[in-house]
Amino acid sequence: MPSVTFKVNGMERTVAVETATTLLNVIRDDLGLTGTKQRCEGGDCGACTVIMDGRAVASCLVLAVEAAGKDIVTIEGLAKEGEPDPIQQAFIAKGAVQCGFCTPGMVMSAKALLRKNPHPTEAQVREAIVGNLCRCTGYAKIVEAVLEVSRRG
Amino acid sequence: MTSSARLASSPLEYLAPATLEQLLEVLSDLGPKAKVIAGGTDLVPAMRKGKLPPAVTTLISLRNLSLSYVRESAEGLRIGAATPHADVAASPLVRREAQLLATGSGAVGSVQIRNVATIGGNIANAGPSADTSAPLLALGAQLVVAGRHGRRTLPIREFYSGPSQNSLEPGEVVVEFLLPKLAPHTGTHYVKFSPRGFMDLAWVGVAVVATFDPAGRVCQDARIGLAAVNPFPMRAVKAEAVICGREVTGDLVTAMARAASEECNPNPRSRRVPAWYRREMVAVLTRRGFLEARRIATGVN
Repeated sequence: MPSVTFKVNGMERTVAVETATTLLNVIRDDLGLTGTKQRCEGGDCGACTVIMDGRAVASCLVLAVEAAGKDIVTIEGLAKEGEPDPIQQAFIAKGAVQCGFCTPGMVMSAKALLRKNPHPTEAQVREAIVGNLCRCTGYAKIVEAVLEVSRRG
Repeated sequence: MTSSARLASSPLEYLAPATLEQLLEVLSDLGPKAKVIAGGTDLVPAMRKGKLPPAVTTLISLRNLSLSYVRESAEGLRIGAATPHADVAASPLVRREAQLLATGSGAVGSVQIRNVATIGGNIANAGPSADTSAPLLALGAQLVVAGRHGRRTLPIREFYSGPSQNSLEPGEVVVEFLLPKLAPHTGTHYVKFSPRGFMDLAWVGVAVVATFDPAGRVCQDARIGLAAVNPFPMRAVKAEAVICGREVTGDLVTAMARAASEECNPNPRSRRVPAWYRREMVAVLTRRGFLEARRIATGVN
């Protein structure tokens, strides 16, 4: 079985993987990082969103072997020394979390957006989360939370 | 339980060649046992659905071949086949020289998809509604194809050989797109018409590249690419012939739009979208795209 090495949340990890395995499964099953969610497995719902080399990607579509040498950040990698990321804080403050299943993916998409564009318009925020589905909130509070971070940032 | 059991019925080998020569050698040696993976956003879901041909034993990755780039050359813009849609859409060069292609790439899926999916994969899959197909057809783009024999260049019109079929020979791979320089006073426009406006396939895709005299009175050249209204992406050559070299009048634009509507071949058995509706929208969007291209080229409304 080939092995693949990549950086996850700042730490270099080496994992033995089958070719036909996704980054999502390695993150959840081999590395035990279950904050990233497994749902549609078709790249539609965004619950599996992680940041890879600075870009938001659907980890259910990336083969683990294709992620070799890349820098991956999952939801677990956001809080610094136990202190929630401003995006996480804003989601809580704005009531943008109901069942919470879409939340990690939403937060990662927001993180990727704000790193590139610290002061997005509402339209740009909505564009950034086009690939993240939420069945609970109707998106309004999520958008407000991201705009709140950019206002404070 | 992991998903890996569902992605392939038996273990697959994986190769990530460091040079194009190595890639071509492997493709030639393995023949139907090899499957090239670019971004993987079409391939991985297909694998999950069990659609990987049983003969395939090895995935061959393009990741180490430096095929992701947008550069200027004497002949025009060159875009590497493994360039992600996000890079095509954001490229200042593409936006300046071939704006409708930035629109097309920008219309694919979502941020997550565009960060990984490539323009080469989009075209090579030969899907009839691919968002970069109509823009590249209207641009008169050339594909650079590499094989053991060397390289060959072909116009994108010759790339499609049937529904979801391309004309690549065994062992060949698309490596680059060449976009010829556009003449002065040329405007470009692409409309992807779809129910949600994002994360869906086009119901109708209309791309227009048109050149005018500076006053916008005469159309010197027009190329119209259509997606999702034919077994494979097509040029509306009859519509182009209506307006090419002619003075632009309301009647002529209407006739051009009607011609495009009549020469396309939307799937008559589609349950999602009735063929008559697609034809109507081809007329609407061809007219709209043409007038917008003229506005961009000359400022004339």
